[in-house]
Amino acid sequence: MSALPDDPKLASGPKLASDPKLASDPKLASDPKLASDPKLANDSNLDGVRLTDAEKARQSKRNRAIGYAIAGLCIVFYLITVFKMGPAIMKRPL
Amino acid sequence: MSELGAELRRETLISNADPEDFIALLKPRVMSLVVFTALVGLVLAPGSIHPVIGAIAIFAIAIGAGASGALNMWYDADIDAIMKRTANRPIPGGRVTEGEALSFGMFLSVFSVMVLGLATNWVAAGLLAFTIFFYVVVYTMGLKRRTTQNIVIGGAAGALPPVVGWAAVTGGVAIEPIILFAIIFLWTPPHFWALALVKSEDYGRAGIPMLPNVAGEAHTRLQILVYTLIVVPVGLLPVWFGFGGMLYAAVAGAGGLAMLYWALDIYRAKADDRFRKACWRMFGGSIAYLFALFSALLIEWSVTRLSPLLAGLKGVFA
Repeated sequence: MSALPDDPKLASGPKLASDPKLASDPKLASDPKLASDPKLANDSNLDGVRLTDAEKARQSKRNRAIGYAIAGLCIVFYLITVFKMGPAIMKRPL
Repeated sequence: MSELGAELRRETLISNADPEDFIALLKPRVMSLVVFTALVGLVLAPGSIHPVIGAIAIFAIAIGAGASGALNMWYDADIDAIMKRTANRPIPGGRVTEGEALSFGMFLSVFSVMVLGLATNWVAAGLLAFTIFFYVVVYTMGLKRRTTQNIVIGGAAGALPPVVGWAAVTGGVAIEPIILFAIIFLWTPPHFWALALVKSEDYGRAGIPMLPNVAGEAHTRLQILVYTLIVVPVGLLPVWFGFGGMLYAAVAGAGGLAMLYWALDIYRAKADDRFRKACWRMFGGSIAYLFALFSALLIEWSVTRLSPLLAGLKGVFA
């Protein structure tokens, strides 16, 4: 079932573009040909998935974790640079 | 919105995972043993490494071990779902998708190897890459579902961290880290077979050919005893080669006797409850044994390093 909207042949078919089941698929919605279709443009299905409060909370936790990880990476690479180069870090031509 | 479309989008687009689920993919308990053994390999190595670079090296080795754990969980999701012990792991529990675990594991594998290479040297990085490859491809994909020798050969992956730690300082390998490797390598079969004996139904349901399921309980008991008889003298080799002192000799001797006692207990236990108890004791006790051996080496190293400092302080205050 989930493989159906991924199939490029099926996605490009005009009959399927007007299929409400497939119209709700975000991949099809991002297709410029389909986006210009007036039927689809007025379709409220394209608003996207509305997250529940629990899903929003988890997403927020994941976002924070990714933020911390990126900050940690910056520190790791900074430390590697400084401690690998040692005092030579100050010796550079102006 | 059609219900089918909504469900389809929800299933494919909405992740159910908490950050804790991604941490669970890294197998933190296994990671802690890897960190500890790698640290011992790193501090015992001759030469010096800046403490910050050393800490980053240990961090990279830990992340590499975690990455291989995530890739192991990705590949084994089908059998994890069958076994009670693993059914609630993030993928069979439905909190993390297989794709997420695969991407996470691959990214961390590459990242850990690159960081170790940049921070220390490419011999250590190559060894870490080999460790990840061995655990994921050789053990998980190749051996685990095919042979009773899965954990015997696969144990090499778990035994490599002290070698990686040593190489991070020296850029090479010597007899000392090879002995540490041998201790962990020979320790692995009695440790895991003790668990396999009490969880044989679980492994059998999942179709994993662990020794008790294929060769039988009696043969496994004997194999545990044989491997214990080998690992105990190998555990004393650091004393012979001069990098284990009196404390290490005492710990390895007493710990070795305890290991032999537990192995004999498994071998001789007749009643089912006593047998299960003996297996659990070997499983937990063997972790304590390995931890004690490496702790003794670390303590001896610390004392050697700290004693000149303490003597200096004594001189200042005299």
